[in-house]
Amino acid sequence: MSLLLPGVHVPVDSPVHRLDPRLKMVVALVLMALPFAAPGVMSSLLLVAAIVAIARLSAAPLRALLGTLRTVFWLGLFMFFFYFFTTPGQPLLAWRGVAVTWEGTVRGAVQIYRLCLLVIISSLLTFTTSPGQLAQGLEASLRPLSRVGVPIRELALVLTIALRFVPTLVDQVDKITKAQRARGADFHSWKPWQRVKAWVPIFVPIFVAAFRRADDLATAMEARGFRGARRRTHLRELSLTREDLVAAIVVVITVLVVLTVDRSPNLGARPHLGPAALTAAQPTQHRALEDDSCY
Amino acid sequence: MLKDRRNSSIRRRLSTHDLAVAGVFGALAIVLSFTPLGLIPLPNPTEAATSLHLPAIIAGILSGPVVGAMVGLVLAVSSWYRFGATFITFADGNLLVALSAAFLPRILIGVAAYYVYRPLRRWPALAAGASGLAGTLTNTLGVLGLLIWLGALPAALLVPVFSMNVPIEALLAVVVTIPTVAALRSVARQGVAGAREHEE
Repeated sequence: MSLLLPGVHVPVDSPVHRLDPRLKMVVALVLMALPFAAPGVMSSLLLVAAIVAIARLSAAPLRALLGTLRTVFWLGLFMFFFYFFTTPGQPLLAWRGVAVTWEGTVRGAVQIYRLCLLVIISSLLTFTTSPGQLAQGLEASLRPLSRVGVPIRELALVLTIALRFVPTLVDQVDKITKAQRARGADFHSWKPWQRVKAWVPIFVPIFVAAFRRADDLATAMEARGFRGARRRTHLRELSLTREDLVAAIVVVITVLVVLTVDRSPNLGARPHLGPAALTAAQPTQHRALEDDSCY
Repeated sequence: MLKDRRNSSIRRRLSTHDLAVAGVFGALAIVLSFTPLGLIPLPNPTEAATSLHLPAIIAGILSGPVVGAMVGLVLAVSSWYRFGATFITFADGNLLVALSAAFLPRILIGVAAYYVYRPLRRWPALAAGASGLAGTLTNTLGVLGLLIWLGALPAALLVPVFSMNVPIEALLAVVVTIPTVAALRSVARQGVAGAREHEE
């Protein structure tokens, strides 16, 4: 059984790999919000250029990076056709009451561009940060919540155990599935009830096997002297370096430029990619007519 | 003082066994998220029913609401890893809406399953079935309902999803939860948390 991973960590030595995982997580979230906050053409081009630069700096394999887009292919297609047929505007084609509009075409394309950009950004994060670093970064970022009773250290331990046991459980799930198939389980019946019933002999042994593993793990942890997640320490403690500071300054400047480039008076009014701009484009003519009528 | 007491009470309730159960069932949630087993092909209009939430339901019944919430959180993190871009696109770039819809319902799956199991614990099969149903509704209606409530999706979407996906996902959860809980009741040395008399 193979894992359908969108982007697997590539352990190479690059400036982006060396950055603090907390910084990378925050930057990824900020960059993910940017295509929506700055929908202009110039800002979109700048954002794409910035992401290409990060990809080059991180030495991410281009083919694998673009390959991650396959995970959202069907969703992207669905979104495009959803906006293609449901956005009102000037009809390009009309057939039996179903109209395709110019606005719908542009809006669908914009949503696909955003989805692709978001997938590339999250893949860059996972390409350059190992699951262990991500768990440690998540723990450090959420630590303030422990003051209001959220068991953050315990959560980090749970996440670490979960990541450690993924390959073991994939193997076990694969064996159980193959064993039940060999016993003649019918997963292709047309009757929903028959098909749901066929999955029961797969899931029940999987859960029982997982519980037995947890039982063994708890015994092993206590035998090795585990006395609660509170006293747990890390081999490498996270600390912000000068490289992190420089990267943070560069990101802040880039974000400010992307946010302001389309609003700059020297550059004049810029066309927007966002749906708001599309809906705003139509009433402009009406407003002009209303202004004329005032005279 | 009160805060310290609350923190320590959560920690005291989390034994090494609870942490191990949360970790291994969390791993199972990740495995289901990234293998075809998480989206079972079934003859309904969307051609698939999710089984990703089952580990959170079972963990909630087995080891209590905190462990159920932890497995739900691991599920939410792995789901965000795979579908975060989709959530942000649906929420039109509003990170708070996307994060709330992706995390809150998943964290509540195991909690809902535990609190539905406890009052019905004298009838284990009924309790397990009702917990499976409650967990499924918390997941599906929670994610979609939050996206609709926060204005990220049109309300008209709730009716087709409710009529197409929810019945078959609920059926799958009920049919899997009943025998699984029965099997785990005989395997677990310390019993099932949802069925213990002394728990709150």
